[in-house]
Amino acid sequence: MDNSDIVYELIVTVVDRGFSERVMDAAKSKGARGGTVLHARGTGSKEAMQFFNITVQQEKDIIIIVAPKDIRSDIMREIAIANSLEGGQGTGITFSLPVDSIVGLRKNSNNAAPAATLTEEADKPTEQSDKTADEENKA
Amino acid sequence: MAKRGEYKLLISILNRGMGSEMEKLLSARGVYCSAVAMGTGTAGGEILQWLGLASKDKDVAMALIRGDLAEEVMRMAEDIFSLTVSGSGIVFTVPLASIVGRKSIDMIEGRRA
Repeated sequence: MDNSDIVYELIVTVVDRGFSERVMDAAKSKGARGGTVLHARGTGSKEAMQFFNITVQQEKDIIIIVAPKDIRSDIMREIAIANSLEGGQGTGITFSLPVDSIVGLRKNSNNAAPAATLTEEADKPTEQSDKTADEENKA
Repeated sequence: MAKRGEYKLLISILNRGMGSEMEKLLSARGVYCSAVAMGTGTAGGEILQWLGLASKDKDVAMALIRGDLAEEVMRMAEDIFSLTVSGSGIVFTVPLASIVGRKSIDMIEGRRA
């Protein structure tokens, strides 16, 4: 399946709370214009500890960035390196999803992506394009 | 054109307070499966960061929506939320690999959906 015509991709990064600035700095250094940070709670068994019958869960930041496809790999690689996703302090994961259509993004002179005005790719078959930090590092 | 019956995840990143407006827009079209999370925008230059204006509160609205309806909603959202103005927000769709709900469970179990 080919989804090479998809112009934008959604990069989702999940890191420990407080590491979102580092992720955004890395992304911006590779051409990302901005992102949105959501607060979340991890549910991994290692991170759930019992203290006096109170479960303490690891707080997480989810950073979502819409970026042109041509710079997506650079951004994800930079995030992985800068945040030491592999066993580093800001242990986390980053993956990308294809964006079908989009409104609200304006043409930016900093990158080569065309202006997005409801680019419709709906008739094309869906392809799973999730990439873990692992895959990105191997690439 | 999107195929009828094909569902997508519609994600709207809008200024704080606009998430409920988006939900109203969706529910008026029969889309009730939506959620709004509070987020923080990080776009902005260094000067804005110095002034402490770089972080802006955002609403992130997520909804499962039929593909053909998504086009209509996106066009309406563009007008309602003035998305052509830089910084006012973005709305986009992500294709779904699979989806399960009551309707599909009914079909799997042989009940007519």
